[in-house]
Amino acid sequence: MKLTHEIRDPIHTFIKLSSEERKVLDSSQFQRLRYIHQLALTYLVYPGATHNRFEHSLGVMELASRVYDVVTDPENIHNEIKDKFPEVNDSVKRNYWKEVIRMAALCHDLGHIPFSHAAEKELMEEGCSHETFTANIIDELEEIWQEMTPPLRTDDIKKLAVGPKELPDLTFSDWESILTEIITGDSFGVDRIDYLLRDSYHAGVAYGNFDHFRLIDTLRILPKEYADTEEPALGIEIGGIHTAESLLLARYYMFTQVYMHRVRRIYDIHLKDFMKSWLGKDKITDDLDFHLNLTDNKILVVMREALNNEDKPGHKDAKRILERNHFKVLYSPNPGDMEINIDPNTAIYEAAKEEFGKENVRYDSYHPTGGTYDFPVLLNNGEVESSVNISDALNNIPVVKVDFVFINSDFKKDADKWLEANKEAILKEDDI
Amino acid sequence: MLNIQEKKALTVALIRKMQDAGSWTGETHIQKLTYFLEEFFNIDLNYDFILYKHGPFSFDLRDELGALRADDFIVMEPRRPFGASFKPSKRADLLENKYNDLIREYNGELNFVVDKLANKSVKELEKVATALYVRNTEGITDNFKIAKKIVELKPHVSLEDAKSAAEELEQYDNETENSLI
Repeated sequence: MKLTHEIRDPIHTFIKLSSEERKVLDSSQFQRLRYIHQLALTYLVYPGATHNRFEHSLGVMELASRVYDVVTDPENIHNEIKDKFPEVNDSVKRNYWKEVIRMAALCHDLGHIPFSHAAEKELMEEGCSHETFTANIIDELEEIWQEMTPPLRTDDIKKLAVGPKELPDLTFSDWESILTEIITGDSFGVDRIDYLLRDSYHAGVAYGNFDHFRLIDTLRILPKEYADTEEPALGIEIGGIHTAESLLLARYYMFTQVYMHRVRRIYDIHLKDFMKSWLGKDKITDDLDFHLNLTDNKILVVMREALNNEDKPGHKDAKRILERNHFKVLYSPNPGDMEINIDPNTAIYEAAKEEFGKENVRYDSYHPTGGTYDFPVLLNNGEVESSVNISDALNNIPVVKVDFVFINSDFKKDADKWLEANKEAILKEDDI
Repeated sequence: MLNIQEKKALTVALIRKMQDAGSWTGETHIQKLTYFLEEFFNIDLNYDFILYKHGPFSFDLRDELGALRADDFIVMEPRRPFGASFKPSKRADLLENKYNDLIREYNGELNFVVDKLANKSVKELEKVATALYVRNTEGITDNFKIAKKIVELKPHVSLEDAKSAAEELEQYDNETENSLI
């Protein structure tokens, strides 16, 4: 039996995995990810963006492996926290956790519903999310974990793949928190590193690129005594600060240019409307058999059927998507509007709904989740300081946000005139 | 339950009072003071807290701070030697003025948590917030049992320190029991 398998990848050249790991790759649960687009309907704006969660998950595994090797190298562990992580000096434990983090990274997206994140909250039953589905699917793969050498604990893989937010009943040790951060961390999570590089490559938008080789080489687990805490965190050597800046700037540009592009946003909304119509009164539950048969391909087939049959649910939304006749931007707040109203987007949306009818107006507001770019930096003199005290560039990266009111294109001209005549009064009246 | 804008207004008011009291006003401080507003005073902010970073931690609140920055109601500034500090922006006046009555309604609770907690160290906050977490989630009321549970959950906290934290919480109970808060 071949012990090492290589898969060609446009971002990481070769991704290697063992025969035991290959069993996960070959499982139906993982193969399903071939049919989940990474960026939903973004390909309607950037035609190249047709890549899927399958290749991204492989990329995240590869990067998690590389980061793990660097940050757990005993020579790279900061003296002040060496005692906290006995796993680093025990080769058996170190190898065990390397396998856990690889499998967690590989499986971290197994629970995505069709078209990835788009509309997840409104389509799934309360208490369900793609993270809870991921945890359930990792449970389902228990037999594979048990057959690995050494056998892996399912809970360990779940913790690292899903993180503490969705697993409130499990306690995370400092070690597990750091490993979770390697996959999903706000600043240097490999999920983020891979999707920026990969989305940028496929969309043909060069802004998402940065020197991830240098970044990974300088990542370190560091103490945060400057912040009066005994909990260590994932940080960086001072030599890597510029590449860290370029990663976070890349994120800013990718959000503004790709993820929050107005046309991409409205197609997400049309897609959500279609899926809601298709589901009817039902919502996506934690029924795994149903979930595993639900892919982008399935949705595209029913959408095509709905396009050709007026009686099918979602007919209008299918027409908007497949005939590319999307709603247009009516309004997006400017700084002047923000000075006179605390929530101008909602004020205009409510007024437009009244004027043109609920069915002809759509509301959108989104900002990325996560915290600040505050991470420890190891200085040349051995001291550790907060990144925000070191990098002006990091402190000045704007917080991305989009607010849009969209209008049915049939009403666009009338709506523009209406808005011009009434905007000031709406914004002032609403905020009395 | 408070609506989205009301939650934002109360969070901004809290941050302003923390700044006025000279607090570092880092994320951990905002997290723990908000936890007290929600769990000690039962103000229905509807943030889910789990035991994670330095005690009770809410990912929803972390996202809300991001939203407040995105809306330009708060700004982040470096504060040596600690790290990121938050303070209300100029635009925050708009929000606070609109919800002035609401902020006044909760003035007592806001002042109490700021007075007791805003200038504590992160380590001190971790202990007392974890004591409240243990009391509320485990239903334990005996101080010694609370302390033992804190040590179990946070092994770096000594039993003596954990007991002090539980007693401090009891002191807060006594102070608020007969007050008008």
